[in-house]
Amino acid sequence: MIVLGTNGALETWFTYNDTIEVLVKAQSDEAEAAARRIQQFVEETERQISFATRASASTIEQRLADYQLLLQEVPAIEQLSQLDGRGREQLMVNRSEVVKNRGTDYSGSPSFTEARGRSVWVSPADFEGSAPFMSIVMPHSGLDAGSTVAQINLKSLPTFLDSGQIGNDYEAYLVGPKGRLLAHSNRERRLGTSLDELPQVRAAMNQEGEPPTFGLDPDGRSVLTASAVVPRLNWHVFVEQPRSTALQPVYRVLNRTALLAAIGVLLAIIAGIWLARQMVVPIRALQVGAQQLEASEFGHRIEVRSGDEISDLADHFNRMAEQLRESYARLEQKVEERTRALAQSVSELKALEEIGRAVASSLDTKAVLATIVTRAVQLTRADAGAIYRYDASRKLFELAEAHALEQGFQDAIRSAHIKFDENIFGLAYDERHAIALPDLRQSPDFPLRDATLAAGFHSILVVPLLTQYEILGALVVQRRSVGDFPAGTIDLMQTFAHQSVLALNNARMFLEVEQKGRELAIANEHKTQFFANMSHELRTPLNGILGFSELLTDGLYGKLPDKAMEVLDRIQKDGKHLLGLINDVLDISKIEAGQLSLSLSDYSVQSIVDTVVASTEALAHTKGIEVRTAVPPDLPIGHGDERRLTQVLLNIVGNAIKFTDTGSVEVRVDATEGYFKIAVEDTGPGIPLADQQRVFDDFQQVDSGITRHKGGTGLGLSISRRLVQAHGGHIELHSWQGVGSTFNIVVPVRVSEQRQVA
Amino acid sequence: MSKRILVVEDTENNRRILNDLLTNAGFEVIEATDGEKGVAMAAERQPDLILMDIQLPVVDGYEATRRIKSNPALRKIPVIAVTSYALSGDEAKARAAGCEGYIAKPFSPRVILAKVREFLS
Repeated sequence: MIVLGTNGALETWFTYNDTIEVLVKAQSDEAEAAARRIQQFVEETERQISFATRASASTIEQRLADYQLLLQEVPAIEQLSQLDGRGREQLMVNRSEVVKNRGTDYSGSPSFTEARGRSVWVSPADFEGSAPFMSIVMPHSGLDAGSTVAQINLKSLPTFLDSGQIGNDYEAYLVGPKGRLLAHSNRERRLGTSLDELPQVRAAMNQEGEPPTFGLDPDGRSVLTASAVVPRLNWHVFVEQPRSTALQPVYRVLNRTALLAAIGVLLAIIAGIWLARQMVVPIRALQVGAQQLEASEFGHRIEVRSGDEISDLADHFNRMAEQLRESYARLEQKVEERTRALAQSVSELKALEEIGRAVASSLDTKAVLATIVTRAVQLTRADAGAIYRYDASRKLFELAEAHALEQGFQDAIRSAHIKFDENIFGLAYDERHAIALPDLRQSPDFPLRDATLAAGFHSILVVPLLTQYEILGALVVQRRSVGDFPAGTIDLMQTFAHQSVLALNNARMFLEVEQKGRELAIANEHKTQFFANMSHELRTPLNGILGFSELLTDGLYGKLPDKAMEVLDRIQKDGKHLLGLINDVLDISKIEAGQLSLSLSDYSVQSIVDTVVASTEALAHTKGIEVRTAVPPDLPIGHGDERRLTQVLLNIVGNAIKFTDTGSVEVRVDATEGYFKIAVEDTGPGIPLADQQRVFDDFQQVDSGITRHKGGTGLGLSISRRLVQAHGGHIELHSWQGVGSTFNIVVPVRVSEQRQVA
Repeated sequence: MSKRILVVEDTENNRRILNDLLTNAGFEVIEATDGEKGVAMAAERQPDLILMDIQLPVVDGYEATRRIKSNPALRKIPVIAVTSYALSGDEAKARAAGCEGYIAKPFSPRVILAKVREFLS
């Protein structure tokens, strides 16, 4: 295509150049010829005039006769005048009149001035209206002999431009001085118009370099132009033809080239299609085949009959597809087999899972055993099954659950009283594994054998339900057909048997635990009630003891001797200690019974600290211990059980004072991130690391000797910790032996609900 | 004229302590041994203050207080509940029944006397 295109373009280019060259040459020749003809015409006219005036005419009459003869012979001459040596008109002759001795003075006109001293002078062409003319002045021989002025009509000039060609394809015209149109082959053109605006005319008049090949006509159309000069007159002949006409041959070549190119393209397309049929179609077929393989369509065969490499390739593809199809078929077969095996495993696992779940979650032994026997029958593809329980006290097997056993047969089993030692169950227990009877008719007699046969069953599998020490029962599946039980089935049944044992054991244990739990709960309730009653009963007399001793101390019954007062003080102290013990025991029993509930209200930490300090002041003073407090004034209002929190702080501060012999006890409070932290720091003996957790346990004091020495129940910290936990807080202990201990009570500023504590 | 205080209390020792304490302090003390009698005594003798034990035979202290407070003639008599230690919510329950004051057992005679004076001053 590119070659065709380039070739066409080059050919067109050469044709164009050749055509232009030939045409310009032809036009140039035409112009030269026309110029020569015009030159000849002028020269001929000059010669005629010269010939007429050379004869020396001595008289006007003779001259008139010569002039008239000349007018007759040369139609182009319009008028002849004779001027005398000074430029006056002596004679004027034209075809209509003769004027003699008019004497008009032409001495100033160019006809006279230009011609003097020359043999002949041709005037530049001029126009009368649109009719061109010129003068030829020929001086007469002799001194001051005057001259003949001939006025030449130039309307015949077009005839010189004509030739065979001009008028058809060409136009020719003649341009005089100043670019005015003197003649035109198209006679309708108005003569006298100035053409010096046309580029080719201007170029010719100015004689600038090579004449242009292309110009414009007065209508502005592009033309192919050539010119020639008429030398003496400095006229220019132009021969032109419209560019469109001139380039006709070029266009023809162009058309031809285009046609050839079109044919070439057509041929190329046809060739392409042919090639596609030969190459692309088979390749497409290969591609489609490959896609089919990709989509696992191994039945697809590629049809290529080209007999070349492509068809070889197609054959390879086809063979590969066949091999793939075979491997896939084998694979699918294997997958199918595996899937079947897996499905079996899955259903076994599902059944086991279901049974396992039932065993783990259900206390309903009956339901669990029913599930087991149902699944066992389904998975072993047996026709019916049953689970028997062994009643050790009566040494009898009893039907527990059955699946797909007729009611009549079940009744028969129930009334049969299957004894341990005369039965295959007993045998299975002795051998500690499953016993299969593939054909009951061939087996030894045992109770229910005939009944089983009568019910239509011909083979049974018995799996004992064994623990390490005893038999719990047996799992039995039975089939109507005769035949061995596969090993897999027996294994599966063993698993089911294990599950059944678990279920029976679980049920037994659950029952026991439940029973124990109930008993325990009742006992606990009794204990709590007992403690509650006891503490009330104990407190009532204590109220009397404490009340009366206070009245005695206050002198209500008269003044007592100092000794009696001292004893009274001892009674009061012991009474209060006893009261504390009773209260602690009651608290613990309530906490353990889950009966301790907080009484929530707003409280001020400052007031709790104040209460505690006031209550312990006397003891601290007695021991010589300083109790310092650091409570910021801007603490938030707390929400919790004020009485219980006071009890906790009292316990801890009381302990701190009790166990510190020298030094001080400091209570510091701060509130951060929604929690109060109340730190109680002492300079006591400290608590060994090993005992730091134990101090929070019930009835624990670090050293029972200290307990005796310092007093206390050993319940205080345990109760405090639980009360703080009930608030959603905790107690931290930091202690260094020989340095002291710090208890941090951390409780939420606002408690929204009580936590269960233990 | 001395103020009259009704002590409703089933334990004899406690009645004796309160009687000795309050009589010694210049109050007139009248006594009842259960809730029902307490209500009747209050209506009959119109005391200026009632010390009400909560754990009482026949009718307990809460119910007795409710009855007194529902009687327009007795409604204005202040009732101080005297209850056993450590029963959470006792104070709230006593206030709900209409008691104006609350003292936990075992009580200190000094605390009782201070409380009584607070109400009758």
